[in-house]
Amino acid sequence: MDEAELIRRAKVGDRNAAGALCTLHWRTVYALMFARLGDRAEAEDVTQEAFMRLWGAFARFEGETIGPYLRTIALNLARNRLRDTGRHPQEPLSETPPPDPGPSVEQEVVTAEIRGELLAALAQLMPEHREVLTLRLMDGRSVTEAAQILRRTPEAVRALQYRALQKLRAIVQDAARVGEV
Amino acid sequence: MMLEDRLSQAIDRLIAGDVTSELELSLEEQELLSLTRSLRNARGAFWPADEATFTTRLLDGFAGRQAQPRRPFLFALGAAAAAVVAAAILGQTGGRTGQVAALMLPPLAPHAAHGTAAAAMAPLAAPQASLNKKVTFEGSTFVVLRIAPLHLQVHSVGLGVVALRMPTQGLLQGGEIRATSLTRRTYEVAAVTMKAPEGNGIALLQTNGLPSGWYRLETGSGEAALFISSSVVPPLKKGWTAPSGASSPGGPFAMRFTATRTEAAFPLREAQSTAGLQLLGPLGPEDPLWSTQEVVEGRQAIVLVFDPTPRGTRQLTFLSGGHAETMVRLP
Repeated sequence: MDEAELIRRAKVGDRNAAGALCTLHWRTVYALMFARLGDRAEAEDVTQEAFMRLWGAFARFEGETIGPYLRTIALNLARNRLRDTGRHPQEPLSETPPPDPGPSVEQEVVTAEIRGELLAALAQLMPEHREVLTLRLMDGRSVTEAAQILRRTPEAVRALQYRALQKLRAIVQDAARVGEV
Repeated sequence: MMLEDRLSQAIDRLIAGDVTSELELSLEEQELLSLTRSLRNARGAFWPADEATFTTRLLDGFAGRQAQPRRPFLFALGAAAAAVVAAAILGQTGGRTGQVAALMLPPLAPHAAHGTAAAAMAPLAAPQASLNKKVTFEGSTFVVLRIAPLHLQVHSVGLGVVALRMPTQGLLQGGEIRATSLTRRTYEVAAVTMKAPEGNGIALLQTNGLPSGWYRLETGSGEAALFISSSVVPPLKKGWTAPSGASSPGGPFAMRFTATRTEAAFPLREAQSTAGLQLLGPLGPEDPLWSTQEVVEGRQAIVLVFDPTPRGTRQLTFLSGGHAETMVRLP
């Protein structure tokens, strides 16, 4: 079933169709929000709010895909969130990350640490660099798809991706040097 | 072919699961590709921890606005077995003694919106209480408590204040939140006022002087039940002590309520693992359904879920490190 048909069904209250629309789009919206906000919980909140706004205006929605509309809402929300966060910054309660619920064998701990360091390094990148990496590597989007979402040319996406990885490598290397001291 | 293009092709192969030769790449490109592989492998930590619950949250607004008429609040209260998420946090924030606040899933949630027998048997929604952030608002520090799949989130609590965080459209027109006592039918809550939305959507409810009990809280996006305790909690003790029969083992103490279940969260010593912790029973029909671990104010806690809610005082005894430790009284 194509997206236009899912939209038509969801408009008459078909919850399964609405669920399929969520499945189709939430990862991209979330990835972009993570890229913008650099925080998983914030990305979840804004993604959810974007969907809530979509549903609120859904009866008047005319397009055949909700992707661009949803992303525009989300990006506006993220912009507001960043502005507001400046007013009321949230800080970690503790330096200690929450423990993993699974068994804590040494290898898992090491892996989790590496993951945490990588995500922390990712959070230090500029938003446009985070965007391209999250879309490509986390969401698994092709260059063409990422270019459409980011409204850039494929060549620009490749170049951006290259620069983003270079920056990320520099951040990881700096962190490793600090850790060695 | 340019560097960027070669690297991009290598990434495409990586995404497709092809781990074949990277020999044509320069040393720098191989390093970048290795970093790419690490990032790709870390993507599990990137997505929401519980995707199923998260995607359910995304449909909450749809259920309310498109398909189903709003169900009466008390219906949802009765069907709460289907829509179980409630949480409470009690602790010291910003140097103040905390109160208890509990939040129940709004009736617009998917399970409750349908209200069928099948829905009533829906599994317990896994609470995703995240307590790793704090925010300073008007000079007070609040712990940010996110409770998925709620889109109305109760946050922390100072003395007489409940901080809520919600989407900005989650307010009634005019930025109003209404609260009505559920336990005293004729009692209208005049003392609850909202001091926001402002900033990042945090609203503060002034609850000074409210009697303890459940309150119906209405916002533009739905309703929730809020449990407010006006009693001040005994001073918190450090860590666990010998069994005393006292009410709380100390540290931040959290309970979750629904109509039919109780969840209780007990803090553990900071360095203590729950791995060796056993509940000594039996409690008969009041045995916990399940237990899990959570982080409460940055400290590990064990959470027990009871069905139905035990009445009266119950002393629970845990075995930890080879000896029994102090327990808690259930209300």
